Amino acid sequence: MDTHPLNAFISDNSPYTRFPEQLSNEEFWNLAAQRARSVPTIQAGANESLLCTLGHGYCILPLKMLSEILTPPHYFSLFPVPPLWMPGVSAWRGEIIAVVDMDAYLFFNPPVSPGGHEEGMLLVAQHDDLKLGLFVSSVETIVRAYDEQLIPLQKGAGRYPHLRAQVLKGITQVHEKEALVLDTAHMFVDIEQNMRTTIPYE
Amino acid sequence: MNELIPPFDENELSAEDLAVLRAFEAMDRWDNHTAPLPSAASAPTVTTALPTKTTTTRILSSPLENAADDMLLLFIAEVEEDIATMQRALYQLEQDEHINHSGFVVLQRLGHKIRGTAGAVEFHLVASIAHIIELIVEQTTQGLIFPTIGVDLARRAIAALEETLEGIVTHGKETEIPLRELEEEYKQLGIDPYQNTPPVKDRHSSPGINTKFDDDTLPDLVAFRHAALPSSMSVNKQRFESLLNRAERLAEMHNPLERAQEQVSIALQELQAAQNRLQKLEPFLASLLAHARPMLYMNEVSTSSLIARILNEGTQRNELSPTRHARSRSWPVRAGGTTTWDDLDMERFAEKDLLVRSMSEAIADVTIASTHVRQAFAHLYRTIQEFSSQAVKVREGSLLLRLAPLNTLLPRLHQAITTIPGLQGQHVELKITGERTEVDESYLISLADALHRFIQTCTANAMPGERLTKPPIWLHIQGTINEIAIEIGFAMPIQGGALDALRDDIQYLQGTITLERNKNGGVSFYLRIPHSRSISRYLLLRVADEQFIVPFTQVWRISEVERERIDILYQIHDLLSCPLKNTSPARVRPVLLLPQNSSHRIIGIEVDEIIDEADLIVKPLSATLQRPGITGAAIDGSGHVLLQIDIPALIRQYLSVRPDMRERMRRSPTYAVPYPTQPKILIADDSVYLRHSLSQILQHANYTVVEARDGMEALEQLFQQSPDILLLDVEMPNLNGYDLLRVMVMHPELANIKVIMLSTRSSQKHIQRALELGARAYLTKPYSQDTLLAKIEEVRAQ
Amino acid sequence: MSKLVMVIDDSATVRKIVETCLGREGFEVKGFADGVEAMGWLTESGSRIPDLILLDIGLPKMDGYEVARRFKTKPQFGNTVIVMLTRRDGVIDRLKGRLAGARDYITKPFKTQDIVSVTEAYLGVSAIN
Repeated sequence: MDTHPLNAFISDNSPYTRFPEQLSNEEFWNLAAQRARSVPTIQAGANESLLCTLGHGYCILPLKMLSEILTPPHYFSLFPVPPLWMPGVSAWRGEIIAVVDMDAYLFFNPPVSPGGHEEGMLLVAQHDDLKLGLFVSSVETIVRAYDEQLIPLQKGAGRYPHLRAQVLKGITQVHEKEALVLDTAHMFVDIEQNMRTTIPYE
Repeated sequence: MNELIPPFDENELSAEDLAVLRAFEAMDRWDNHTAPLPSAASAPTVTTALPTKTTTTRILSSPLENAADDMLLLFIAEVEEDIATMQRALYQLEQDEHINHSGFVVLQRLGHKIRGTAGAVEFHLVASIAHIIELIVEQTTQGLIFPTIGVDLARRAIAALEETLEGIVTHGKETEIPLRELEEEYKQLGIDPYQNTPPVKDRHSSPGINTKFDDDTLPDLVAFRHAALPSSMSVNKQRFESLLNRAERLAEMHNPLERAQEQVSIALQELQAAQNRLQKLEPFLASLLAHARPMLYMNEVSTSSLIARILNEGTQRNELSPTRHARSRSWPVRAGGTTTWDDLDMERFAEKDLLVRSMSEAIADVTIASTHVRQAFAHLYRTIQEFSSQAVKVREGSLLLRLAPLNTLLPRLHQAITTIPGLQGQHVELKITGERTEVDESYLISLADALHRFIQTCTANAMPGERLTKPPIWLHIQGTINEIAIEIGFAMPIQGGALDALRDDIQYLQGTITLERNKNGGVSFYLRIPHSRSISRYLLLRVADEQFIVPFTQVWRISEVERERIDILYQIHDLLSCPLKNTSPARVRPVLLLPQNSSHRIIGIEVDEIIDEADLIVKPLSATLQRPGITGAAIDGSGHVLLQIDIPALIRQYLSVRPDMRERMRRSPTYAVPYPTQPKILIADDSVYLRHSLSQILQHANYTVVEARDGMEALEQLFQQSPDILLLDVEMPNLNGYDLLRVMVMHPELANIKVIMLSTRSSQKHIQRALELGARAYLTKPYSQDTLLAKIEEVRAQ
Repeated sequence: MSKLVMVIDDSATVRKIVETCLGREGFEVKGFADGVEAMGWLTESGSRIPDLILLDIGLPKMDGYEVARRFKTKPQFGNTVIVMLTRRDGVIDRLKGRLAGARDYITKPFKTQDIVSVTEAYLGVSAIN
């Protein structure tokens, strides 16, 4: 009975492992639906972040908000009247997600065009209920962001006035270059608000 | 919050039981008098464990106390019997090593039963203990209690039950002690026995009879039913089995596929080896052609050791030619052989010959190996083809599962319609074309229900009258590959409020509904719905470099601009605010013509290109991505996102921010209405008196007035007269006030007619609803003349 | 002829209670321990279609909803009123009952007066009293 194939599905938080037949129809259905929907998450250490190269610099994103990293080719479909840094939308595991060109978003440049892309990495990130595709040029390495190394924000933020205040946690040095350390929660809020308040038709 | 019922287990039924069931199903006549009917196939009575079976009571007149005593005896007997059964089950449980699932079920069921019974005779303590037994079982199976402890606890509980019962017998009432002790023990386990149970109504209060299910609760049932649908569905058994077969075949093909792949790799390896051999020969060939001395390592190449030896000797001999004589002396003499081949250059010839032979062998090997590879590959390819065509069959089968031909709708509709009281005795014409169109079955059921409710709502006030010669109501259903089009026509005036009541249904079916006056003088509703909820047919459009999809039900025809007389033409990239791509002007751009409706205006949208039509599953976009007119998207085969356009919503949005376009629409040349100097007001009310009196008031205040007697007329007047303000009564035939508001929402050209609702109902709910539907103001009758005029002024100023 | 009430409940005590209180009011009562038994009786000669069925949900062999459904598929039972007897009072239970064809619903434990009231509500007071 321990080798029952479905046992793998049931988490062992009861004194006796429950056999799936013992679940009521509803419970079984819920369990199956939940399992079907779950996305394997990256097991990230608390402080691990990903260093990404962008056209005009670097950015550092906390690993635990990332669900998946997609390799090219990518295809972004134009979304009518998007925010300036949004090339469009893309499909991921059956869901439609908005794509943010990180270079455009952070460094205030025109975004990549919609359509096909043979280069660049798309990082699928999630915070609360919102999923986004963050488009970067390439993914470098995993770094541990040490707070001591952050340049104090007063000095740094002045250079990035277009970003809402707390999106930028700080700036640090990596490979003798500047890398922007981002705060997930605030960044998502900023992006979402920008998307919602864009006036559709003018 | 489920009832604790043991699952309906077919296996529990004995063969006799099943025979009884079958006989029951087969019965289709009952006479009230005792006409002999064929009795059930098996033994006439079904034995049960309980002492009494069928009992008939005639008019009793036995004194009350006797009845009470009888009851008590009966109760005691029954409970004792049940306890005995429980103890047997318990014994079984204790014997087995594993927790025997069925034993617990028995305990639970009996506990439940005793609880109910004891409650009925008002022995509440017994009921409590029985309840605890139920809980014990529940918590054990949930894993909160160790099985052995659970069993033990159950034993104690049963003992408590017996004690209490004894108390009843000897003292005439229940004793509290056993229950208290039991609860104590339970608490010692650290678990609250009543933890997971929903609050049970206080047993001592009168339980009350639940009120009948009245129709106010029905709309919730609609939502519930629709919500409940996804978690289970019924399928056609034949198709399901066919699907299973196909799926099994697909699974079976996995092994051949693997083997074919292996074959290919083996063949490839073979080829590789043969190629290697060939390659090794290459230097020898080169040296031979150059008349150079053959190399020393020829023995590796040759396929036989004899030839190798000969060649070896040959090479050595050549090398040592100056000292040949010396050598030959010490050369082992071969049987019958001489050493004079050299003169004829035989060795060289032999070497060449052997090399040639080796080469041709090697080449032959390569050829054979490559043939094998080709064959293996062809086999693999065939297997893959079969595999994918079987996969396609599985997919088709799974789609077919949910489908049923349209004509299965007919009997269902027929039956439903005959139950409508207002239609008793009337002839309803039902016609279906394209009846073999396959449609999602649960969708069909929802459609049948929706149609039934629709007709019922419309005829709610109708009285069953004399039979008319012409059908007062007709339903024409047409199934095409793209959609299902339904006309529901009425020759008589109908109850208003149908659209309003059915909004949820129509939304659920993802359909569009329009209405028109028909040639019999009444109103016809035209409903267009896709074939299924999930997959629908869409038109794939190109706008600049992007592709979008439009539901088929929203498009009437596709044509070209020059060929049609179009009243209002929109550009798709205007509507979407996309940049215009420079296409060559000579290229003809197709135009989508929208379905005509009461306005009788032809509206078209010019697009860049119509690429294709496709069946797609569209899912709603997340909240942050939703825009007016773009609320869903599909994903095509290559993983690209196709945004779905909702044309009416898009146009509405466009007009709301483009006041110049709105004016242009109002002044459409088709209806040459001179721009009025006086503001025009349309009064829609079914009361002649009211219309008349309002008309007087308004004309006196220098307004131009037009009137409409019912909802349908009001709609027509809105299009023809283009009033500035509409005074709208709620209660009207054909379309009531709310219906009309909904219809107005569908027509963007009516967007700037300001509506003031007039009604007798003053509740907040009604006001809220009217305002949500787009009314600018709401006046409750009775109202004074001044109030009305003031309101009109106020609304005009907005 | 007096109206026929069928009571299907696995507890003999409950059946006895119903038989007594309704019999007193002039109704004819027939009791069965489970759905199969009831159907068995109905297939015999001499049976008639009941005017009201009091149906317990927690029955052995076949639960009350299933029994109700089976009865309701027969057009002859079109006029028969089914009233479910049950322990719980949730919305879901009411809905389930309704979907299965029951018209009304009584919670257990009930008072005998409730049974009488419900029966009379649907069948009227019995002519013979």
